[in-house]
This record gives sequence, C-alpha cells and structure tokens, in this order.
Amino acid sequence: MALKVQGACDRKVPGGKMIRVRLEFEIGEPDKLISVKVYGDFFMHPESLIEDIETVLLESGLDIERTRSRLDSLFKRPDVSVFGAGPEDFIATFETAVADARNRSIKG
Amino acid sequence: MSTGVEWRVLRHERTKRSAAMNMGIDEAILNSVSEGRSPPTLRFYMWAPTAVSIGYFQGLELEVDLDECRKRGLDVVRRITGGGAVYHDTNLELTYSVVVKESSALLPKDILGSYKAVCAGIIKGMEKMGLKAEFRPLNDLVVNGRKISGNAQTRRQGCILQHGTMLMGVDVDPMFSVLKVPDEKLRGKMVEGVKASVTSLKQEIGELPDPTVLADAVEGGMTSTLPGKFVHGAISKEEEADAGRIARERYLSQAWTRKR
Repeated sequence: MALKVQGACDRKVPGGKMIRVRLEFEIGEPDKLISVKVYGDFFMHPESLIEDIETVLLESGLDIERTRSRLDSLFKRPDVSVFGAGPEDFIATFETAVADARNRSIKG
Repeated sequence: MSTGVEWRVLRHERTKRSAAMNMGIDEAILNSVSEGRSPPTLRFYMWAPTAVSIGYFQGLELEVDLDECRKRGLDVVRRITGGGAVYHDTNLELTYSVVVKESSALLPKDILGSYKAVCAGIIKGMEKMGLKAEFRPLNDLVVNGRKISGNAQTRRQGCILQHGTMLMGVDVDPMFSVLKVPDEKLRGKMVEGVKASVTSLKQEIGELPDPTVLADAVEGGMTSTLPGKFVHGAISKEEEADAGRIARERYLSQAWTRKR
C-alpha cells in the first residue's frame, strides 16, 4: 500500500496576510499529490480564484516551474485582484508544505 | 456632500441579531441594491449572542475552537467577504455595512480607494468621539498604531459590500479561548501581542461608549465624507424575508460553514 504523508505550512506574508497550505501526497516513483487546500485571511476577487489556485497546485504542484507560470497567468487575468499575497507567496508556502511532508515521510 | 443620491440608513444597533441573520441581512441588502429595489445602504448593527465570523477563504477548524464556541453558546459564521477571523462581542462591538452599486460612482472603483473612502467616514466619526484614527492599508483603522476597526469587502452582482467592526471595548481572553493560534507554544506571546496591538474606544476615551452615540457619530462622518444625502429608513418586507431565507440556506448550513 502506498504511503501517504501530510504536509503543512503557515506563512505570514511580510506586510501582508497569512497563507496556510495543507496537503497530502503519496510517496512513490514519482511522488503524487492527492490533495491541496489553501486557506488564509487574504482578499481575492473573484472568490472562485481560490479553487483555481488549488487546481493549479494539485495538477502541476510538484513541477514548480509549471505551477509558477500557470499561477502567474491566473493572477494576471484582467478580472482578478488579490490583496495581501502574490503568486510567489502561494508558491513559497506550498513548497514549504511539500518539504514538510517529505521531512515527515523520512522521519515516519 | 450633496448630490441627487439618497442613501438609506438602517439603524439596527439596538436590535441585536444572530450571526446568520446579520450576514443574511447584509446579503439581502446586496441583492436588493443590485436589482435596483433598494437605494445605496448604510447599516449599523450588533450581535447576540456573541459570535465568531471567519473570512471566506479561511479554514473553519484551523481558526476556531468549535467545542469551546458550543460551550460558551457562541454563533459561528463564515462570511462572504475575505479577511480574518473576528470575535464579535455582544456588548463591545458595533458593526457597519455599506452596499452600493459599483456603477453608482459613490465609491471609487479601485479596491484600495473604496476601502479608504468608506474608512474616511469612520475616521470622521471617531474624530467626533475624540479619537484620531488613521487608515492602515489594506483594511484596518488604527489609533496610535493600534487597531480599532477591521474591514472586509466583496464585489458581486455589480455591487460593493463592505462591512467592518468598530471596537467599543476589548476583552482579549475570551476571544482567545475560541480563536485558535497557529502555534500553541506561542499562545501566551500572541495574546500579549494582540493586547498590545489592539485598542478600543473605551481604552482611548476612558469609558464604554453608547452604541447609538457611536453610530450617530459615524453616520455623521459618512454624511460629511461620502456623496449624497443620508436618510433613516427601514429594511423592506422583501429584504427581511430574503435575509431569513439566506440565513437558513447559507449561513446556518454546515455545507457553507465547513466549506473550507
């Protein structure tokens, strides 16, 4: 049976808001993300953007360059405005949560 | 400032309501303003019982100790606006909401500008109460660097809804018994941090203000900073019914509260 590990990261953006990522992935060749949730006290318009961000992270999350380019284009959409965090903050929080999960899998 | 526009002012600060109903009313007003059934609206209100509201994007269980809320008989509600978790003390907080059509030009189109414009009215109101408050981007008002008001906005159906708190008093300990802190090891430090970074009218002027006096002051502040005429009115039968439905279907539903 595949080993599942969870990762978490809370990151306060300097001068901005709090981003909290909770994720789970299966250890394997290669590792596979199963779920990613992004929470926080930031502001996003439209609100449905949060689900789009989670989808990008889930679909391309362990390929950070792909995640970066897809998030950048999401944030550049003309109808989108986000306050208190930028795409890099979401990526950094996500990467730390991935590292946290890997770290736990080694210890576990 | 006078233009042809007439605002409706709803003074609900003496009829405290549940969290679901308060959020239901704000949303029902948004619906009716959006559909042209109601004029732009400024509302003042309070909460009973004491409630915790969380921002649209927050994780319920990450932010709130639900068992403790149950024990204390607190309401817990997820807002349609972003931002952080708020402890709405039944006696110590006055809340306001502003709903306008985006196309009305009553508020600037850009988000930061519109926060500032609404907050300018609150700053004027605080001034009448003897306080010098300042806007701290994106969404806070501070007095001598300490937060006295938090504000949150959403835009939907062509409308801006902004609601926010005005702290008449602060009781930090019960607040932290229901709000979770990211790191339990740092709880003491965080509680001390909040005590140092938050203030209230009571702390600043030495006595707990009467909510009606504060609402009068802030209404006066809005009148002098925003365009249009402000006239006291009532919520319509239609809005009241809509609010009850929204409260039941959205704000009291587990699916919504536990959405994230």
